[in-house]
Formats: sequence, C-alpha cells, structure tokens
Amino acid sequence: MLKKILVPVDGSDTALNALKFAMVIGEKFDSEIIVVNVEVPYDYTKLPPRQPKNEIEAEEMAKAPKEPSILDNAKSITEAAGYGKVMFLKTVSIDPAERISEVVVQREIDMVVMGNRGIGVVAGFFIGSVSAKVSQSVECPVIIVK
Amino acid sequence: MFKKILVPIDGSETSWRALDQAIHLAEKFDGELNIVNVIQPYNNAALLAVPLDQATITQGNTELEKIGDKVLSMAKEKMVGFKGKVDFALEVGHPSERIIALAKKNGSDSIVIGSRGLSGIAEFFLGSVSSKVSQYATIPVLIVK
Repeated sequence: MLKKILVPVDGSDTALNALKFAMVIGEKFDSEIIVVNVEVPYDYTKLPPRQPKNEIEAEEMAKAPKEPSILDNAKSITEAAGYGKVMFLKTVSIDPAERISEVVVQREIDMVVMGNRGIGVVAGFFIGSVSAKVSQSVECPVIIVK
Repeated sequence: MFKKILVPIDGSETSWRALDQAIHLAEKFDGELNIVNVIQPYNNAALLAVPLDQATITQGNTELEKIGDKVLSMAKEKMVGFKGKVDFALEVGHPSERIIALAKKNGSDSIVIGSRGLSGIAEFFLGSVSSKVSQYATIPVLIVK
C-alpha cells in the first residue's frame, strides 16, 4: 500500500521528527523513503555566507570543516537508524509547496510525511505554511508531524 | 505510534476513505480506534431566517442527532471485520475544537481525518476542519484525500 514515502526537509527539527516518524511507518510497510529539500532562491530572510576579507582568510575558510548541509543531517539520521531504502533529492524552487506537489506526481508518491512548522515561524503565520498548502493540494494522504 | 487512533467522520466520501486508511494502520500497528462524529448545532442558514425559540432549536438538534446516529451506524457496519478494539462516540459542538479536546481526553497518539468534509463552499470561507485540526493538534495528523 505504501511503496514510496516523501519527506520534505528544510533543516528544522520538526522536519527531522517527520523523517523519524516516516522511518517507523516505512519499516512496517517496507517502503522506500524519498527525502527532498527545496531550496528557495533569493531568500533574503537567510544570512548570506560570510565573504573572506583577504587571501589569508580565504585560505583559512577553505580549510575549516564545512557545516553539514540539510540533507547531510537527514542522511546521518537515516544511517543511525540503519534504514536502507532511502533516496535524497535536492531541488530549487521559489514555491516549495508547489515543487513538493510536483515531486509527488512525478515520482508516484503514496504518502507525504512532513513537519507542521518549518523554519519560518513568523513568515509562516502571515504567508501560510507550506504544510497547509501541501496537505490541501496533493492527491495522496499527508501526515503532519509536530 | 498508531496505538490509539482518533478518526473523526462526518459521513462524507473522504471520511470513509480516512476510516479505511485508519483500519489499515490499526491492523499493522495493532492499534485501537476511536471513531467520533461531531454534530454542530444550529450551523444552518435556514435557522437564521426563523425566530430562534426553544422548540425550533430542540427540533433542529434532535434531527442532527438522528443524522449523527445514522453516520455512526454506517461506520459500525464498516467495522464488522475489524479484530482490534474500537469505540464510537457522538459529540456536540464546534468540530475542530471538539476533535482536539477529545484527542487530549482519550490520550490518542494520532488523528486520521478526511481532507474535505461535507461543507463545500462554506469551507472556502470558513477554513476547513482538517487544516485547523492539523495545525492545532499536538499529535501527528494523517490527512486522507
């Protein structure tokens, strides 16, 4: 019944909770989990990466260990749980909800598991949250995890 | 997880699909089902046009309760083959508020609900029960299409 579960992640804790939840269901139904991260271009609410001032600083920054990306964090969670059937996707779109709905259709997803509130707490209140949009627009069942 | 599932139904097609999905999950996870139908008294445009005396209200409410009982008996028919524990309840009040309060009272660990109920155009203006429940409940909510 549940062959493919989609888990959209945005770097928030609730998204990682959703991933853990998806793994519990996935184990029962022996399903494949697809983790997707939608990057929003021109998002001015995020700080830009610090630019090096001179060559010496540039060298130092190149040496410094990179911060794990959102998908790396997700990967470490699935590896810790020992879940094998996982796939990671990264896409760029101005409207995450729309892109998530597209992925659901393209990859014939059976269920979406997502966090109710991502990183935009205040913006989510005014603009409307991604989870609410997704739950209304996709054709498959959606689980909203807190 | 999925040990105690609350399933609000209103007699619509999607709510029956939600019930099917909940049965599926309850069988897999060996869970218990709480099926509830919430009726909302005098949420009726026709009642706004007539003077609200006590007799009219009581009459309207008994009609609603009859409908609620019918929905629950339909649910009972669907649950005949189900092996696990199940109970049925009829609640009166504001649907999303009652659902969230009931989830707390029962100690449910998840809610399975249909995305779109019976209300149609009214939902466009008032906001849907499922999105309210999914935003305000503290437990995972499965929205079924």
